[in-house]
Amino acid sequence: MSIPANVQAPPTTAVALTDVRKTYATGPQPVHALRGVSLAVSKGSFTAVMGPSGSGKSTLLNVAAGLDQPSSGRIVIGDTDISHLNPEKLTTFRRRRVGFIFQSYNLLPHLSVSENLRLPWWLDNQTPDPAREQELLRAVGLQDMAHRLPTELSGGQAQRVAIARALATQPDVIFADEPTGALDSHTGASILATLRDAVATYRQTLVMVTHDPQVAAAADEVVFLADGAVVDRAAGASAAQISQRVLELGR
Amino acid sequence: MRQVSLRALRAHWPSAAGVFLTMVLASALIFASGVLIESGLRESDPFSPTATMLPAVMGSFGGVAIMLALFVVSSAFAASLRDRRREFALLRAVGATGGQVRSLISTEVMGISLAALVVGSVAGSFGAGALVPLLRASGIVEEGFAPVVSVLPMLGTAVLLLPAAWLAGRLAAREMARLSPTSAVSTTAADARTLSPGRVTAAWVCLAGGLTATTTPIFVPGAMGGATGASSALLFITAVALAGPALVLRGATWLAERRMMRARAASVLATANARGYSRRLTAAVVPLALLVSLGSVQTGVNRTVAEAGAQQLGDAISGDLVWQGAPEQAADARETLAGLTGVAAVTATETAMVQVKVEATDEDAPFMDRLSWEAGSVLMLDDPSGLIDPDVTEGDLAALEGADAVAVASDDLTLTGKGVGDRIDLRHPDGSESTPTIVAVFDRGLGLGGLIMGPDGLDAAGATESPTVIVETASGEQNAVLQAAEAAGLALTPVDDYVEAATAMSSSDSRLSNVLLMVLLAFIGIAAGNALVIATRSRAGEFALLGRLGATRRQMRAMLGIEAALVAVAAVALGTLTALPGLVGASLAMVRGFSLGVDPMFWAGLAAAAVVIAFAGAAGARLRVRAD
Ligand SMILES: Nc1ncnc2c1ncn2[C@@H]1O[C@H](COP(=O)(O)OP(=O)(O)OP(=O)(O)O)[C@@H](O)[C@H]1O
Ligand SMILES: [Mg+2]
Repeated sequence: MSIPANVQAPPTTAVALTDVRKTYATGPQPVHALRGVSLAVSKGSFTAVMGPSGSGKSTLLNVAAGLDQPSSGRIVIGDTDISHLNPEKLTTFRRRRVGFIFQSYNLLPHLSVSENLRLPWWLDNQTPDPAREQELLRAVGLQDMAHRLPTELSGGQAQRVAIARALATQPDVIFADEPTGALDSHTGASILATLRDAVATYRQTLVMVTHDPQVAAAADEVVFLADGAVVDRAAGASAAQISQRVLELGR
Repeated sequence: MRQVSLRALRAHWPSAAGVFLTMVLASALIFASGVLIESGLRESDPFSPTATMLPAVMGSFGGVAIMLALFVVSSAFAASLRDRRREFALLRAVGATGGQVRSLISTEVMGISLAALVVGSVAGSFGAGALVPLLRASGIVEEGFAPVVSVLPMLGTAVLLLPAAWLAGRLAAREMARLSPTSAVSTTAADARTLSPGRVTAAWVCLAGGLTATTTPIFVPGAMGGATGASSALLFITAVALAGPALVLRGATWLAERRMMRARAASVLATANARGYSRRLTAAVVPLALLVSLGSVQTGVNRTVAEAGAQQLGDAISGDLVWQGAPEQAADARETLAGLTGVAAVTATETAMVQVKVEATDEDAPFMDRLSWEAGSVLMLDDPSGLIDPDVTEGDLAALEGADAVAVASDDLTLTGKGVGDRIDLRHPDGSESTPTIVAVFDRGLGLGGLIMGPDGLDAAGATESPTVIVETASGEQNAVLQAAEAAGLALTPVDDYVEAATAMSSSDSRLSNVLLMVLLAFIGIAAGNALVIATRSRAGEFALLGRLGATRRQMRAMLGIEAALVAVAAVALGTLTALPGLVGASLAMVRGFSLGVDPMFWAGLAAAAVVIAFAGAAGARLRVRAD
């Protein structure tokens, strides 16, 4: 397995990163969280991102999704170069074309489940579509909990609302940063199955950070990060092979 | 988006209610001042106390109230929005544009403000009514006075407060909109550690402004009133508020290195909290510091002014005995006293009410006309070269004669820019007007009043009052003169007693000014307590986490206690420090010798109030250990 120096984006690429760097200069010493990452994710695929803690996985996702500015490099989603959009345009683009699921704190505590779900429409000045809302709630198995507040949900239920919301506007790409990291493995697996089914149904692209080799094994491609750089990529690897690789990187 | 606003208000009602209350009180204060000022200006008799004193008294109260209100309202909004930073960051992450977050915040701020303005105006009109008995007792309004309530004060309040609220919302929104959406996910959002360059610049500007305000009275002697002192204190406090987070960070870092603070979990946590939440702590300290500062400055400067007046009056009089009595006896008294053996010289004085034209207006509206006249009094000397020395700096008192010559005090601000040879416009109680020429400028205005005229200066123009005869005795003859005068039916008092009585008279409305000051201090106290309670309530999650980690309630109480002590100490220290320049400036500019003018008991009361509020705010914490 070799690391491509510069990825030429084929027409079927959903997300393309070219030599993306990110340096945090907040502390006394600058932290180089990403040191020249180039990556292409093809349309409709499921990509898993793995690597030791602090290797830059969250940073990579935030930057790729337009939540954070890279220090340098190019990021193209679909056919839009988001590194050159102004903040307003970027936000609007993100709202319509990109979904994001955090590890936790995805929901506004004072909005009910269905209101949280309607946020993307409200923000876009659109009238929420009740049929679509019902469909999404059914897809994540929460049709009975539409009126609950986030504090009245279990951790797994809250994450399922976040998934439903990320799917709401039918974005081209969904980024998920350890969406089940805070859950037990059984609940996590069922939620991930929900997410994968939904993504497959709507032919969306999924990029997900995970620590679970089992989950990664189901991905079309696994990207291994270490110390802010892509050190390996694997397609069709088994869970055992992936565990092995992660263990090596952790050392 | 309206749903989001409404739900947010419902969820954050305690802090919204706190801000609302602060805004209601602020609008009530300004509205009530406005109502009383307008009522005074509408009074038909321009020489009645209602017309002359009410607008002046309420104007200076209103001025300080406005400065305070702007300050307190904007910091209340800023604090309540800062607590919801994470929520706004999440909205950004979900795809809200900076503009959407801004308009969400503006809608909320303006909604609360408008509602508070209406409620505050109603409360303010009751407040103005409640003040009437006191105003009447102090002689500031006549019997039967009733405030006139119109829409003007409400418009004025809106014009003053709404932009301040809007701006506070804007500034907070700017900070929120700049937040990176990813900051929503970082579970604990500590305050940013650095100040924006704009904020640092603003802090320096306020510091410079405060210094300018402080040194003004030194270069422009006499130009010191309560308002100047208050504005210098307020500018310093604003500088502290702006630079506060950086100062708190320094202080807390220093504290954290002390061995004493590292001994117990509670003190370690308290100093760490101060460091991590430097903005939150600043927001708690500043209103309390303002309480101490403004209270000290207002009372201190007023006392200094009174003391300076007494000093000037004492210096001006070179006699040693004084007669006071009814106007019709004055001429006889003067004659009798002048004829007594042992009397070296006598001088008789009278005063008359006038109005001085402040600026030329060609406006016909009676309202505007009233604003351009300032009430004052003229001191009339029967012998300008006699026993009263106003300390002439320009011109000559010898030229004071008849109704066409006047001397003015150098510190009379209403006549700034006029000098010897210029004319001033006067209006008299009988309705006549005159335009005497300035023939001299004198320095002892605080003791003698702003205008002096010669014998017969205003005889034609209505009643004169408080006739006084100053007597100078030959050395060793004072007792003999006293007895002789008594025998002639004239009671004389020593000059020192007269000066003391005259100064006590001038502060006879001190009950009113004390009440007004208390109203202002209560306003700051409520706003400060409110801010503290909101800040403590918003930390429920933090307390819950500490509880889950095994902190006992005792430890958390101790931590809160140490934090409250830090807040109280910082507030008293900063409040005192920011008051000092104004007090020292007033003292240097006006009085001989050095006095701060601050009543130690009053200062201790203010400090105690700050301590009590700081601890009461911390006591409201809900330490229930529950899972989120
Ligand atoms: N806001 C920040 N300021 C400074 N440094 C940061 C910031 N966020 C992340 N870092 C640093 O950047 C590096 C990459 O962080 P990142 O969060 O991307 O790691 P990660 O791979 O997601 O780790 P984990 O598996 O623990 O979530 C780390 O060294 C981290 O300390
Ligand atoms: Mg991470």
